Amino acid sequence: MDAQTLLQQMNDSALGTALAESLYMYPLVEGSHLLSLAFSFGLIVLIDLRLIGLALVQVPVQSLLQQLRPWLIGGFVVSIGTGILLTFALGPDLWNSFVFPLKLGLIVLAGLNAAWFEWRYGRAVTTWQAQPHHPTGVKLAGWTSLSFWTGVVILGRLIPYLD
Amino acid sequence: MSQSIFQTLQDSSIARSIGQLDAAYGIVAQLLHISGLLLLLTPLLLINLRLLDRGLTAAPLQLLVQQLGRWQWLGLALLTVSGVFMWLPGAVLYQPNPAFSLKFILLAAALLLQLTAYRWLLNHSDARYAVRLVLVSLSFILWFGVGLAGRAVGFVAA
Repeated sequence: MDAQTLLQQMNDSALGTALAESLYMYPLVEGSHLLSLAFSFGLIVLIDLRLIGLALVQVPVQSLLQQLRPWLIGGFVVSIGTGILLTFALGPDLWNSFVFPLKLGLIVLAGLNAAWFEWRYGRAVTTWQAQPHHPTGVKLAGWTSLSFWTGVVILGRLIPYLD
Repeated sequence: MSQSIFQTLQDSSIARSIGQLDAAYGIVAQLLHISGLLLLLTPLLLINLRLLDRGLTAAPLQLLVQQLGRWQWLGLALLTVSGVFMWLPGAVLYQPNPAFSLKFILLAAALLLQLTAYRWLLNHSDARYAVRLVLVSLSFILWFGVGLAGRAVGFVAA
């Protein structure tokens, strides 16, 4: 099954129809998708800036990662959940331009970057967080994450215009 | 009365100039509006978590307020400039929209809270937990309400 067919089936489903025709649910889901970015994208940007050394440099990285993780994950659960619901409502037109596929691709790449950071540096944060300069790999992961997630948000906003 | 003010603003030369710009400027304004919203809400979230001892407990509150407070004001400035840019060319259309009115009622309430009780709380972070919880919850509800009402403007018919 290709992507366009899958999106058509999602759109034709009872959920897709109900969302697309609902007076209140669609705006509420769309608004929640946007506002959840304050938890998901906003917190990841702050963590990235900390890894790069551009924000909250007095706050230990370990405490930032540990204490913000539940809120970050909660934010991503809402962002992804509402994003899937919006996909049900918007249907196969999403695949008409490069914007939506590129957004999905960047989300995958950002996820892989986060997994690599966690595997390579996240578990050993206590060994490098006290150093005056973070390892190059840590900064690289921060910049990569910052770039990918910024791209995701920009592309998401472009969907209504370029599809 | 207010209808004529909105009409005058929409007929102003600056509103006409914005209205004649390429659609790409509108997209940029929307992206700046979202950036402003996130610059406002994410620091609010962090400071509120700290006030409730639910996050960033290793950082002194005043450090967060000092460093993240600047982001919030930058966010508010971005929201204002990009918001006026998007609103001015179609001011008359927005005037009767109930979501638009609600957004500004919530914004006024959020700013009032931010400049009074919430400011007091930032200087009295040892206040009773119940007081902190009420003020933090109010600030969340009001600021996220502003965002939701703003998003609803495009969906609610006048």
